[in-house]
Amino acid sequence: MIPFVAKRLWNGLLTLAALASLTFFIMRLAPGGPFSRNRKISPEVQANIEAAFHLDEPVVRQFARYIWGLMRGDLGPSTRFRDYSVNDLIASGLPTSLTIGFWAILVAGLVGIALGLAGALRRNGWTDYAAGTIGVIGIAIPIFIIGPLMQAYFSVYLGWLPVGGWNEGWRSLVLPVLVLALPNIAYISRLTRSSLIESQRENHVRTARAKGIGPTRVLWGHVMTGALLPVIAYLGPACAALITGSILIETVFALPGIGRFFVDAALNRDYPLVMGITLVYGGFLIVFNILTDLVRGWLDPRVRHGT
Amino acid sequence: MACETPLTQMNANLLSLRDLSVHFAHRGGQTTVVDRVSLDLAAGQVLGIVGESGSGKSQLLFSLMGLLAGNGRASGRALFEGVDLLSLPPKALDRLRGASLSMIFQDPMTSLNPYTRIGDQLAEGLIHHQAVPRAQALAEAVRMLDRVRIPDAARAARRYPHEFSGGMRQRVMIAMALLVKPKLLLADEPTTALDVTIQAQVLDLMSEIASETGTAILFVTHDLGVVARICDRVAVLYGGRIMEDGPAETMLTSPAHPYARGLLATTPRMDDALTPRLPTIAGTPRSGGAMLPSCPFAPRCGARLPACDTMPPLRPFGPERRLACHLQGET
Repeated sequence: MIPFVAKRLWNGLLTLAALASLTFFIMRLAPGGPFSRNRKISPEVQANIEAAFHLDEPVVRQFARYIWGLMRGDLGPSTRFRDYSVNDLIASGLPTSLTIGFWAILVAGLVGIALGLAGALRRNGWTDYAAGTIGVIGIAIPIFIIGPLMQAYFSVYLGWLPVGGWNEGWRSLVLPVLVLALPNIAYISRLTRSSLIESQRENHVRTARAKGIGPTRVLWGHVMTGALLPVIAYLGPACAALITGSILIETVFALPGIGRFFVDAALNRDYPLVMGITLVYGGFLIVFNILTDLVRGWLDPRVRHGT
Repeated sequence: MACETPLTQMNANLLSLRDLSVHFAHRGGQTTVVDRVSLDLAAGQVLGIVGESGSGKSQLLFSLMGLLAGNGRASGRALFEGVDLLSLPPKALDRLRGASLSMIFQDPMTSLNPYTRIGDQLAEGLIHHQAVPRAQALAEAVRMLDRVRIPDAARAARRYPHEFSGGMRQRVMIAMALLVKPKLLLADEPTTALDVTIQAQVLDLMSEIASETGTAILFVTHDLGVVARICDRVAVLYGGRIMEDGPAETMLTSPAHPYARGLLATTPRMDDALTPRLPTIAGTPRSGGAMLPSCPFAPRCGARLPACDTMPPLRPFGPERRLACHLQGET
């Protein structure tokens, strides 16, 4: 258990290092630089600014400087938001993204699994069709359409909730969480339903039914574990994606999360900010993958024993 | 519907099948895989049901356990101690299944729950049906695992199925089925998936424990060697119908039905090692499709008569034997 986690963490660290190197050089391969748009400034000033951010140094030296900063936990200064370090910017945006992501994944997991269960247990009943309809809607309609529609109805027409922003407490949360959760509810409920139906057909479930222990114990004791494994495998990476913020959601609802910084940074060639957010996202992905593997190992002895 | 010959001693039997049929509904209508089978099994007896794949033998067992797939349906009667298993409501069936009626499945690799310890899987039935405390049920499970010669049973009970070989898993299945001391054990080719070298061991173990607990066995197989080893009586099934049945010795020495004779001829014999090729039964076994009015074996039969266009009734043929063949009716 502990060697397993240690090994996975070490692998994750290597992955992050590779990610940092790749992003660093790809960013610099793209044409333009952080200050190439500001044509009005004189060449001397431009040179001064670039020197201040060490952009005049050879790329390899810049890379060494960056990695050295990383090892001290310093993601460098932002080139776009002067006077702010990337650490500051991420620290200011991450809590918003985390809050929305946390509630969205909670809602999506609970509602998705419940709908999937209802669909699989009463196959072709009305709950199944209702869940299926929500599923199709959730998967087919993109966030940038369903988001504004909900704003128009709940905020503008009914006036129940704010259109956007982040200063009305839980009321600011409802719509973004709902819109972010919807496609995941859809996907998780479909996944739960199909893997539950598949699990019910397993030979060992037939053995359990032959024991005469009744449908409830067959379901919870013999069908559920196998049915939830694919759902958990999906939930891990999905958690990382939701928690690190959806760019679309933060744009539609004008939220100060890190997703918007990411777009801004990419458009403005804010090298350190792009790198910082990429690494945060990569870190979350690695951590959630390790957590997923731990849960899978806890549920499935074959994973635990590495067969 | 042809009325099958009534069997004697109807009440003395543990299990009496009367015109048991199994149908599967599908888009083009329905397929009959078991057709009006009538059989009797006395307490403590071992009855073998022999037939090729697709002859409906497994579905016959599933129908008794209420385990048919969603589109399957059984008709007729299956009286277990006078109670018709086919018309039993699910809750009443659950009181019998895993208690006085248990089953061993064909594929030991997939028939155990991969997420649960062996001991817990065994104990589950005892805890549920006999309200035995968990610790005691686990102790009994360990005793039973030891009984089927699983080495170091106490530790094995804490292991998971994937830590065992196929042969060991089938022993676990046998232990699980016999732990509740059932009156009737349904065995669906329990040795087919096993290595030939351990088939005999597993068989002997099964019949040994069954005879101790007085358990009757309905044993489905395609292997006549298995029949010879443990069965008292044999019924030969083809195309979902009984072609012939009788005591095991006579069936294995002098089968009367052309299919039963063919089946026996295709069984390899150790004293016949010089025979260059095994004989085969020409053609392929019929499976699926609507039931024909003719004898299902007629298309492959070497001794076919014009009368074979109609299904011969199952008639008494000598002491304790029955046969469904026009050929013998003629002579």
